[in-house]
Amino acid sequence: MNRIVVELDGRCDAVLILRSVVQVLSQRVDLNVLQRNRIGLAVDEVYANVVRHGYHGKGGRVRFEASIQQGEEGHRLYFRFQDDAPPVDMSNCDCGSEMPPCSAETLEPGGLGIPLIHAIMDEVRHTMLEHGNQWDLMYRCTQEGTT
Amino acid sequence: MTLEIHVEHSKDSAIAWVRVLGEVNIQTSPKLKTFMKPLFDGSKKEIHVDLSAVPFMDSSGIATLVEGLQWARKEHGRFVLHQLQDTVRDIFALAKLDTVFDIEDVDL
Repeated sequence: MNRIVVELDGRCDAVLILRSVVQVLSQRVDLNVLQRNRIGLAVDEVYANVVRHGYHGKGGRVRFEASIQQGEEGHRLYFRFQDDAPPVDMSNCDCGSEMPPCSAETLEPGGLGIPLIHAIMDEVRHTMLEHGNQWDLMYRCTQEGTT
Repeated sequence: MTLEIHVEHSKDSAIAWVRVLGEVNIQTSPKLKTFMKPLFDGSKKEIHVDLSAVPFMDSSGIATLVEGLQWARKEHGRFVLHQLQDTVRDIFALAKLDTVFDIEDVDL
């Protein structure tokens, strides 16, 4: 079974656990270094959002589930985050799969995390739960993307 | 996980060289910000950041570097990133930041 589930305490240093899980699963499907790094970044960014904006640095339960599934056109990596932070309405977050254009004149220090997640992952879905939030990410391991 | 940061200044304090060693993520990026902030407040003409020993950087680290970019625009200084690893360069390219930042492959 290619499925790993961990429950974290919502503290910053636990991000290393997530990165380890991503490394293990992405190596099992032979993703290259850059792909592994991108997926690690997307997972890192979701967790950072939960830690900073959900729990405001005070910690809280974060359930993380990662799995590999075989699709018709190859492997897919699935990641699911569930937290107990106040539900956030993300319906107004209009993020396409392309990073918005930027220039030195308009670039701001914050706000890159969510667009990066959408640019890296093939599917990103946020769901407001009754007492928390759920993020579902999917990465399609295409033939040309693997080594 | 630890992040090492070394800062050197030219004799006239106009140029700063910053060497960063380790991953820059949600855990370590506050340290990077703590070291970089005073440089943006001072009288520097140039700030050079060596990223050759940084294998991973998330948006919190990038945010601090964007502040450097803003400093350069405001103070008419130079903010230069040096020797990005392929993994970090890839993220900069994905975020379309590779054409915004002054990036050099010169060893400091």
